[in-house]
Amino acid sequence: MSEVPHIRPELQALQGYLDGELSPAESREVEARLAAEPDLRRQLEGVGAEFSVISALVDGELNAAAAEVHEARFEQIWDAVQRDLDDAAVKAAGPAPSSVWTRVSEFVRNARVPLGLAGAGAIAALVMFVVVNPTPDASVAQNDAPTESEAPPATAPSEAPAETEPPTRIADADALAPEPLPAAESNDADVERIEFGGASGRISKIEGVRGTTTVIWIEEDEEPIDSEQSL
Amino acid sequence: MVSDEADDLELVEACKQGDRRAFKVLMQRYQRKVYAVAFGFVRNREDALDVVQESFIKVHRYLGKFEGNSSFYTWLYRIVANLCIDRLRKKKRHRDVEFDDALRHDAEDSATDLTIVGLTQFGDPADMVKRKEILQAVTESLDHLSDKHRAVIVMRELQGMTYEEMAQAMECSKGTIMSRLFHARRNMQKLLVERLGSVAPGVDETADGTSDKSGDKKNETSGGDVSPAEAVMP
Repeated sequence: MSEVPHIRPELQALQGYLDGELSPAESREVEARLAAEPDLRRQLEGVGAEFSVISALVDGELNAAAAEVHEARFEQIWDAVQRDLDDAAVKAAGPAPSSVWTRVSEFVRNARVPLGLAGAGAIAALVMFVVVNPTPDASVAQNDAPTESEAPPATAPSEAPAETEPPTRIADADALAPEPLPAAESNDADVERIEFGGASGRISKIEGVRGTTTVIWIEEDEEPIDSEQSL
Repeated sequence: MVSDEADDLELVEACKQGDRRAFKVLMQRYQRKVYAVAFGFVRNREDALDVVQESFIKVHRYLGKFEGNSSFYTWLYRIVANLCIDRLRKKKRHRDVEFDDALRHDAEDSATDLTIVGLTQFGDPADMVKRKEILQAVTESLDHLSDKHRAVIVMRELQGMTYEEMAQAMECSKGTIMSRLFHARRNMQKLLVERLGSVAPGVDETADGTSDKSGDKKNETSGGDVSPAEAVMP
């Protein structure tokens, strides 16, 4: 679009004078000319009045258009402005701190492979340890009776481990499990005559591994006899 | 908490402190004036409302840079004018033919002097704008101006911007603004006289349908300024 050529300088001055855009010096020049040319002054006053009509009509038309807009429409604009302000505030604040669960989930997600490998290694090490170092509880669970040759010295009848060793603290119920009954043909069994509860008879007494004594009532005498030995 | 009657600078300071209610008060104070300016530029209701929204968002975003050297009103209006001019430029790029080129260029116009065409004969403008047909004539006249002519008319007559401010907004020289304003006013005069003359100023109907004696005012108006060559068209 071609640019409109500039108007003559004298027209620019007159228009600028009407619009109050001249410097004090420029204004004085125009006023001097108007004083010397009364027709020009009347013309300029008429043009000024026309400019005022244009201004008033344009102002009136645009304000009337603005008055027709319903208040609710401006409320919608305010809501949109608020949303924009909220978005700007959120962006300015930066990302919100994540919850503990989110952080844990993210850690596990990132570390699942190394954690998995570490876990597998730990399980393998535990299995190896158990295989190499079986616990007594494990042998009981497998129902393997300890042989006399493997039993600790406490199985010898002359020994009384209960008298020389402090009683061990019982950690779990397995420690209370009774020892398996010795075989009948064991040569370590003592057979004695005993008086008990007004009766007498013969017992088979076997000293256990942990200072225990197993007593098996074999038979009862018909007539009670006096004995110096009693339990 | 700042009151609704606080002046603009007090509200601006409260806004800078994060008082969103103060910003709403400012917005409510100027939203219709902003709309009027925007509508003058873009001549479309929804586009004008978009400009209102964009203007206040921009105002809030740059409120920290407002130093109070000019009035808040002036600063706001400059933001509005810039947004409108940007919008018109974007629309123009997508338009092959400008709307009504008849009055676009006045290169052929002699433009030797400031012309009186007789607008004052129609009466007091304050009364004129109460008439629906007068407002309609003004609407048609504004619609027929080119975007640039309408922009300078709105900036000057509605916003009261100086030549320098208008030149900055339109990114042109002050001389170009003065020429553009001169031709815009000439065109507006012609368009208004054509339409106001056809409205028949003797009719006493007002916008609300009641009778009005404003037709008598026509005879009281100073007719000395009307040149016979610029007689009103019947």
